[in-house]
Amino acid sequence: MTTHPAETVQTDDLVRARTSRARIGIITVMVVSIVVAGIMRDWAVRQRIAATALPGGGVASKSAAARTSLGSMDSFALALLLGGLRGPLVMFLWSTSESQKADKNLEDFDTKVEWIRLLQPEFDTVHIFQVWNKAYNISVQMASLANKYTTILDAIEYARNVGAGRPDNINIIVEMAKVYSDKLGNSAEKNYYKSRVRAETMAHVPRQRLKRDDPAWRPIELDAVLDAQGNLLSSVITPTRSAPAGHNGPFNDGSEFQYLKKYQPFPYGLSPMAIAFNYYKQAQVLQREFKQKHAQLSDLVIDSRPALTLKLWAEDEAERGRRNELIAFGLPLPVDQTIKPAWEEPSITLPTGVTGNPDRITEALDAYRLAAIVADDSVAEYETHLPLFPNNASNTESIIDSLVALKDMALGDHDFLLAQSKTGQERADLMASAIKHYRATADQNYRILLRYYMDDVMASKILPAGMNRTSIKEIPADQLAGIYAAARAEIGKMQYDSYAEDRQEYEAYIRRAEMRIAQAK
Amino acid sequence: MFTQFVNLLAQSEGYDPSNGYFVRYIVAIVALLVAVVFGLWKDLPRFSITRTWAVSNVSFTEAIRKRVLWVTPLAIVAVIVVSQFQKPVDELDAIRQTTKFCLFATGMLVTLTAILLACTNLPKEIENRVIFTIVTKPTTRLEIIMGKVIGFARVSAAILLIMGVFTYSYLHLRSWTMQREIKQRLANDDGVEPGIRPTLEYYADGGLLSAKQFFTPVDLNFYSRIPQSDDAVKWTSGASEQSIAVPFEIPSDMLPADPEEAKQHPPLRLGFLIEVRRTSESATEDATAVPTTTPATRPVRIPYLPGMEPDAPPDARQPSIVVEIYDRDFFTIVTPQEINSGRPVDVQLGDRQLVVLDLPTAILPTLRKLAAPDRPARFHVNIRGAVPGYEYGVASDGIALGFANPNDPMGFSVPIPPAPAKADAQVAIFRGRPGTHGQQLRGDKPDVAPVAVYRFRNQQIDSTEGNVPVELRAYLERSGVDDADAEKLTDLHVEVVNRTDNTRSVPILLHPENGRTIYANLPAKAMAGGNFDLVFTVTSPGSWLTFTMNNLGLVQADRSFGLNLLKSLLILWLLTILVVTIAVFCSTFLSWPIAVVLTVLILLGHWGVVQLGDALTPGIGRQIVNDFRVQDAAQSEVLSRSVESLARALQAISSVLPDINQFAVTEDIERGVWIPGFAIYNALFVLVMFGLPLMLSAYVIFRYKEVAP
Repeated sequence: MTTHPAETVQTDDLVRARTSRARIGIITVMVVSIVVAGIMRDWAVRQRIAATALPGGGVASKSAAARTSLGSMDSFALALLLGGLRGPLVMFLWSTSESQKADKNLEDFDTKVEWIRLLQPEFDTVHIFQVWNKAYNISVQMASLANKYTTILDAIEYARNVGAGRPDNINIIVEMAKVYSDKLGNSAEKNYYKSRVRAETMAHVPRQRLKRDDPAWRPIELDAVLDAQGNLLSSVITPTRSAPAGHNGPFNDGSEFQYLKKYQPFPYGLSPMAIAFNYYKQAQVLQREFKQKHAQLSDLVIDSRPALTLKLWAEDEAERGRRNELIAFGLPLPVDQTIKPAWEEPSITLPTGVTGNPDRITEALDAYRLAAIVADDSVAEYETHLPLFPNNASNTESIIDSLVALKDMALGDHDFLLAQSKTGQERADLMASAIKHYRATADQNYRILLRYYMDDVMASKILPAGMNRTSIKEIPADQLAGIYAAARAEIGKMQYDSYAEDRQEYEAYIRRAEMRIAQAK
Repeated sequence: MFTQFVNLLAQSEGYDPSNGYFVRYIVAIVALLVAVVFGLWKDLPRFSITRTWAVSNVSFTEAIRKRVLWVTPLAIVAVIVVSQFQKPVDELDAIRQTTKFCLFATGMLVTLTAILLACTNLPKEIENRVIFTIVTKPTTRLEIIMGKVIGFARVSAAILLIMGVFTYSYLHLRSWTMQREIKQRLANDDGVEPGIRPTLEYYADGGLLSAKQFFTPVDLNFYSRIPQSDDAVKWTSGASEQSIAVPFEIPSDMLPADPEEAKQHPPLRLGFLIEVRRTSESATEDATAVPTTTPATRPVRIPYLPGMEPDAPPDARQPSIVVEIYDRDFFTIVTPQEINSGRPVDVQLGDRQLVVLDLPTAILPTLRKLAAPDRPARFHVNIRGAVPGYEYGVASDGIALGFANPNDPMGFSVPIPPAPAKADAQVAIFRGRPGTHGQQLRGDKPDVAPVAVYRFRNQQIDSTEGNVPVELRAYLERSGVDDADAEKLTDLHVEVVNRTDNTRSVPILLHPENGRTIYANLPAKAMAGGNFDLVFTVTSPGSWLTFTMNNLGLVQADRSFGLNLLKSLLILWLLTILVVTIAVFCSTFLSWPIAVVLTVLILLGHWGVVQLGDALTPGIGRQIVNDFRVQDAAQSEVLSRSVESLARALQAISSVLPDINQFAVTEDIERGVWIPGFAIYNALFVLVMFGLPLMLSAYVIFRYKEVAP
């Protein structure tokens, strides 16, 4: 049987037309699938925002959803492109990046971590690990402080990038706070880090001229967030959303540094602890008001962090005050700066006839002012935390007591230092105020020593009849020094003094306050 | 007989002639003989290049008609997109990563295309009877098979050409852009940290795309001071920081096999001439200082006698040395506790003195285990100054070893000469502190800091003018220096000591960073004559810098990147020819999906077995029995033997499978290193030794396959 050429052509045309129709159908289905997937994803994101009870007002939800969508476009596109290969690729990236870290081979390590971020955008625990990984494990592999610092900034940048896709996420916000407080504010290299954070948050000409999309771009410094007067830039404190309908409690207004507004100006830059407090406060609000749960930390930890970070910030400011006071009068800085009492001794008596460096004195005054305000706020924070978590009461109360002492010490130091440059009545008023605050801090430190660094047996021997350690507050101030002197005499008879080291700190505060009172008179 | 053959195959490794090289020859010759017997003798005389080319044209044209080349734009887009997601350390890292993406995409694309085209071609032609039109013509089956291989190789070449042009252009574009920006940054001082400025200047001057060839150092030694050319005695630091190792080799038949036999054997006697002098005052390291980088030090355990605790003042402690025995890779095989009853050997401050020490005979069976049937036991005798505050010096030929002469307390019955690894290497190896990434050099005050010395001999250097670039990728360990307000960089000085005229160049200051490459330009004039040392000194107390033979690159020449890329593409092309050959072979007797799977298995088989590594070493069966806690003796025996047999079979199979590691091209070109000529030779060797037998086998199978009525 033979086939007619015309029939063959007709058959071929039919087959081709059918194939073409089938292809168009497949392409149409694929395009529709992608569009539907996008719509479903958007819907899921909105549901998640609603489920986490973020502000539901018109402005808020649109903003959050928009940021989420835009921030995760890379992720979405990458996941779509890779399809089923995403899982194996992620496994490969995890194992190779971790082995590279162990081998100290950091070439293309950041690229792999970035790909992990893009491929696993929805896993908070991944981001918690990677931020910690970069800030600690990778930064410590660097030898130079500058490279350690930029690696930590890279960890912050990572968290920011995740945060762009997952706004108001308690896990990411807490990680940012931890990097600022634990790494930049409290590591062995903290002096270097703190000075850089302060300098870079102030108004300055950016050193990084490369664009963010440049291959060689890396975070080499923080962005300036303060203007020339030390006030926060409007871009970081302008709310981007209103309170959710029906919500009367605190809420995060969408601005970056919402909780630092009340402390401005910051003429000497921001402390890492201040920034950490701001993020911890955001996390606390998300937990208290919007019932978000941290993936790894307990509610108690999250709720207490703003108060604790305020305390650390206050101590940081107090140390800045001491440092500048010592430098202003040409006094030596402590050899071991990690020992707190070491900061108290050198400047107890300021050299006579020396006016001091006015710039340093001004900075010290600013630091003491801020220390007092922040310590006071820390007490307030602890007082709101205590009723929610009463199990930790005794620890919280001891911290509050030390904060009260810190506040008065800072105010006393402020007035005493300011009085040095004044004359006449103004000086007398400032000295009187300094004496008042020094007296208060000395008494408070006596009470701390008697309450927390003495056992019950000793308390029964030296406290007035009917008094015990919990009622120390009721003892008249003029009796405290005498009681403590008796306690010291008793302690001297003991074979073993388990509180000796702890007491040194508070005794140093008392000594400073008493000496300053004597000088002020 | 079969078991012996399997064992023979299992023993063969790589392409080292001493390791079963001939097995592959045997396989190739067998394949050739089979092919000759089964028809090659008839078809070879009829072989026509023209007909083969015509067949290849058909395959090539068909592949082009299938729009195979359309996948290249997709791969190009993918590379560009993925390059945007990279987070490089710096500009050079960006180029390296982009190079890797380009070559990875090229390799994947060309390999997958080759597999799919070659695996599907024959089965589909047989299925849709297109093969009738070929086999019914006066074309031999040999011509068909070869034609198809050549045809698909041409397709691969086309893909490689497109991807190669893209890679070259894209990398040059990125490199040019980045180099321009670096120059701008340097000119404007934008965000340039002091530590990285020399690196950026190096990038700006030398460019980011390179293909460097390096001079090879003879050896690397660590001394307490820079030795002068005429110094017979060279000095090491004490406190177990540095040591002196001398390599020896003893044939296995000279060593007892077990402890009982060893008791009757004369002991090894070690004799050495040593001098001891006091160290100048060095910057003491704070023992309590917290490390500020992750530690990279392998713990070294040194015994101390009562009254010789490490914290005793140096003056109160007599100098002493500790003897250890290392294997060829410097892993401890006999600890100091097993030698001299665990006590350090006391030495006297002052002039040269002879120390003779008989090593216990119990170590001899341990040494014997280092030997193989065809090679002697190779080990190092290591002498380490144990007490700080002293330097310990020996002449390179001042250490001798032999079997003790029972009649002479100082003599040898059989002397054992040292066995340097290289003919021009020093007999005594002066070693630094062992670390996880290499040997470490201590930082100290400039006038007392110890040194690391790379020796270069008989190098051809144009010393008339200019500089010779040097690259160093070092690992740094620091402690107790970061609690300061300001940055304190680690200072590393490098200088050239010319051993022809004993002149020293002006030291260049560098600031190393962990895992990053640092660069410097050394004066070529200082290297005149080609016999010189590169001397490194760390002048930051508290810092330890790691050196290896491989982390230094003294640039001999910077060749053309384009040519280097061409070489890498050529190697990739050889790989695709191998892939095509395997795929065509598989497709002669399998349906195309199974052929694809088998092709991948053959390709990755050797690599996969290599990845299993230690899991296939003898004893794995016993280990599995222990892991699974099999109690029954019979069961455990069966399990153990089965696993061992399986491991041996896997090794045997993998030994005849192609080693695709020989086609690895990305590492060198990515690192800017000139691909050596032998890399092409190795790839060609694998192709010939594996591809040729397989093509002949494919021919034989296809010749007797009925594909047309």
